Amino acid sequence: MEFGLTLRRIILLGTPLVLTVLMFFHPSPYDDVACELIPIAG
Amino acid sequence: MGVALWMLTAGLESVVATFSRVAAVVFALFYDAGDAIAGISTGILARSAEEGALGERAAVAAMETLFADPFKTLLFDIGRYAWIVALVLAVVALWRAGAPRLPLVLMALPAYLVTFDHAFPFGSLTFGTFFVIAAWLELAPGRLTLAGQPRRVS
Repeated sequence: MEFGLTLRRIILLGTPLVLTVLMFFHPSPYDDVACELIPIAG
Repeated sequence: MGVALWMLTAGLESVVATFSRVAAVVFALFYDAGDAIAGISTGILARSAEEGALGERAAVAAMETLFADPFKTLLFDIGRYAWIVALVLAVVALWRAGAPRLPLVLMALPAYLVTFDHAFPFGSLTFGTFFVIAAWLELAPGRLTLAGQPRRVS
């Protein structure tokens, strides 16, 4: 498998795969701060 | 993700594929800018409030100001629409290049899911569906020659 194809697949498939996992840990868009729900992420 | 979106049509030489890649760049620029304001900035404010460097009330007021700001919303909206445009144009370009039809139809999923928030579960669903569909297209029989050989499509 040539290097270009390997790099292409790392970027094309690796990026969304990593982000899929990372987004599991993304905080809720609204969180409880100072006893009220406020937006913390978009 | 902008680069991944670009890679979806890499090797395809057509006007539609080129516009898809341009939209991918627009998505990367604007969505990241919006996320820098809404996500990173509010994260810093929340951490400062937690550490006591900033009063919680002041942090809440600052976050609400950030989220009410129409410029932040505009950046996110441009980014979201660019993602949708890039995907639709990529589907057209890949369709014309003879890619499998079913994964191209399913590309509607990440295009729709990006309209929601990217926090869990929608972010994972957006990028997860993109991953599955991109893998399907990439590993489909005949795709190797498609990627390796630049093709001109009307």
